[in-house]
Amino acid sequence: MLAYTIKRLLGAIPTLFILLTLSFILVHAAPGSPFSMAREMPPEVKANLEAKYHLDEPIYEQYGRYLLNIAHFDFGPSYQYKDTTVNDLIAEGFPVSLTIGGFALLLALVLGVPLGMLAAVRQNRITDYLCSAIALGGISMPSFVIAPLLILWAAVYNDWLPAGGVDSWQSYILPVITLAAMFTAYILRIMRASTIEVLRSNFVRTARAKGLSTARVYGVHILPAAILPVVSYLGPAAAAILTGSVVIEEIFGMPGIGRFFVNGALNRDYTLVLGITLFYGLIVIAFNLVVDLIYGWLDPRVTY
Amino acid sequence: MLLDVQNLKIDFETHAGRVDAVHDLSFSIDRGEAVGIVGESGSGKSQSVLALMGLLAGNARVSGSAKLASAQAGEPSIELVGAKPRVLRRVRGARIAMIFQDPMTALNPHLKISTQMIELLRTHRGMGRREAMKAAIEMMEAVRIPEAARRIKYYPHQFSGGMRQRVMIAMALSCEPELLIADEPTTALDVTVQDEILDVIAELRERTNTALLLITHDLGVVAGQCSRALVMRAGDLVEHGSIDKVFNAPEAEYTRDLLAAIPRLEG
Amino acid sequence: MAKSTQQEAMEKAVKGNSLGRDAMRRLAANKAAIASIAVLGLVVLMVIVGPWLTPNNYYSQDYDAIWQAPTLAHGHIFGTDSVGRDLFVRTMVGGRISLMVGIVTAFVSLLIGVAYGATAGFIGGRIDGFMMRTVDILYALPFMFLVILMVVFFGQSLFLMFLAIGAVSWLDMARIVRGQTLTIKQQPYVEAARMAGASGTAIIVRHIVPNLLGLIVVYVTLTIPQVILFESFLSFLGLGVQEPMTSWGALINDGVGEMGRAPWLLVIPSIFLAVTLFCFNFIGDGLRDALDPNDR
Repeated sequence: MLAYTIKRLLGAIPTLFILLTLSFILVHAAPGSPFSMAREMPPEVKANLEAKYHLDEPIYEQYGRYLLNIAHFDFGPSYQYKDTTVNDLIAEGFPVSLTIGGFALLLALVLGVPLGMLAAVRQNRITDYLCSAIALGGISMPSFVIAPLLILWAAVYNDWLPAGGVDSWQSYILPVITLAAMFTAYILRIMRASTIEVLRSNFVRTARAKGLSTARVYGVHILPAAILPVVSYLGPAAAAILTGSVVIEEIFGMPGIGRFFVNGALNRDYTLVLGITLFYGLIVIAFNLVVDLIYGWLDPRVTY
Repeated sequence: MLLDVQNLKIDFETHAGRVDAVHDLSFSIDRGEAVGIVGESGSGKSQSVLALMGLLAGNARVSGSAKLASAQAGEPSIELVGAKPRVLRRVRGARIAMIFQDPMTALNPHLKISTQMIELLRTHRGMGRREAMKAAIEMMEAVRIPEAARRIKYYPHQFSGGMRQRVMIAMALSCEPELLIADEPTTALDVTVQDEILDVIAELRERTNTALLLITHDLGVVAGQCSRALVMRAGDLVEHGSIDKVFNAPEAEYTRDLLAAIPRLEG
Repeated sequence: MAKSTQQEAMEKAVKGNSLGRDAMRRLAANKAAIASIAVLGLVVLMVIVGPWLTPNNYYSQDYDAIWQAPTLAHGHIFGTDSVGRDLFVRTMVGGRISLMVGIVTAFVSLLIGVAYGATAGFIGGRIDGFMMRTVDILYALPFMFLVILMVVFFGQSLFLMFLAIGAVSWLDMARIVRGQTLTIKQQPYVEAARMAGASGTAIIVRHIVPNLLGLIVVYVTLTIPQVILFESFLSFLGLGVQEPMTSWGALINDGVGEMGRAPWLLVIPSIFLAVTLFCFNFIGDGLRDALDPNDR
């Protein structure tokens, strides 16, 4: 297990390296970037930047410094928000984003896994078609369509839930539902496909031939095998959830990282956008790593 | 009489229409008896026994009758065809056990052997975890798996094919069923292992007086293990009789062909 | 090993099939897919022809009809927005952009993906290992953010969007095609062609690509909606097409800002986007099922 963990950790290094290098090149190649000084900016920011990035040094030293800063999780100052570092903004916004994303993923799993199994068991019957249609709907309805419609219905026309903000826990209900919709749909489809496959396998027939209860056949024999593809989907899902939360936070006006990111992008706040991209990249890489480890732990056939 | 099958018919609804699998199968087995069903793949022999267990796919239609004698004298026998899931669950594993052709895929790769053996004993015998574990290890030893107490904690992929089939046998016989259905139990195994597996089955059967329904395409295996044989071809029962009769005075042309196909040393 | 499940399912679903007559017959029997094709055809027709049928254009402002609800009276059948632009024309023109981005980019990603995947699968060995490891690494990157980063640094343009989205979406295709190529490569007729001295390129073009056709068709129908979604996402955030040009995502973004006062601005483009995505997904699913009847 330890060897496997180390192997996986080492495997993440190239990804990390490419992410960092790619963003470094982007920043330096970009026309109108702060480093080419084509843009007007407050002198104190400019001075700060030059000091920060040591623009007079040769490029490889800049690159080294850049790597070093990131190794310390130091993403530098924000342009847009004066006297605020990107780290401050991330620290401020991350709890909100994490709450929305975490609960959305949880909701998607809680709904998607059982519904997917149900659809598989009732394959080609009404329940299956219904589940599959709902899933297709979830995949076809982008969050920025679902969210406004939900707001119109639950907040504007009926005064059931707040339309935005983070004033109370009720504020999180609509965002979490919206964000969860697409992942529920994907998990349902994956779960359906894998359950159908597992249902055909010989060991399920053995379990039935043993006279076990239906609950035990499904819970102990089918579920652990059928859930593996869902587990490996969680890696890409984490990246997609981060992406999705950008839209959600924008629509519901929640002060999460995604909102800062969009504001930064629209206002060309280079350091903020770069910092958040890197931060998200690190999260995604870390999450993929965790998912891989969980997978290895769940599937006894994975050799460490 | 332990099991009495009368006029068993099986067909499947498929995209391409109805497919008949078994036309009209009747046979019976006494307690402790060993009966072989011989036929090539597609002859309906596997479908027949899966039908007895209620394990056919959802698009299968089964008619006819298969009566399992009651466990205690005086009670009515149990009709297996069309039985409720609850009734079938109490028969499966406890009174009729089954082992399958491919030991590589018949065990759940995600669960330890111990889990898969204990659940059976707990379900049908109402044993506690520790008691079931002890019984499971004894069963593993009975099928001559070395270091059973340690290896029962293994996952299936840590065993060889022959060892996995031993595990399957240990599992199937752990609740001392009255009938063991073995569907091509040695086909997927190395030739050197085949005899050992058959020996293990014979030895345990003798101990528990378990009847055997052995399904195979190999007449040689039937001759060594069974007292009676059924020959099936394309869903029909073409020959039925004692081993002696089937081998020495076969009625059906097909049986003669099968016998002629057995390779002999003298050529 | 952890595998990406969606492609895995897709790979399995279309194992070594081509678009045979059987498949077409099964597709024709799938009412949902046929209905989707009809609806999608209608949407495409509307989007192409629509702007020519009305005297309005997508940028001119009618100050006499601001926030006009959908009505036949003023000739604004979908209503107007906050500066009096006709929503019907804007939805159609926006649809042109969305569909064009979707189709063009799906083909870009298709070309890259097939070339890359077929090459890796065909060559095999260490080069294959390296090529697929590269894909794995790229997979783990948060692409949406890198694309936005690019947009921020290089400015917004349609071309950049094609490039960025295309660069992201070929990864799935490469993986699927490689897997299929590995399988097909083992087939006796490919072996025979190789023995007969056919060059690698000839084998890829003659034998491998035609065998991938079914898979490719399914993949393209499923990639187009993803790309449309991607574009709408960027446009919704204000990082895609720029005013006065528009796309469905941008229209929805406008609509969200005014949804209390003028809900039609939100609802109508949303319906067009959702229906289009739904149709593409339904057709893709239908095709996949038609190619692999076992799964249904």
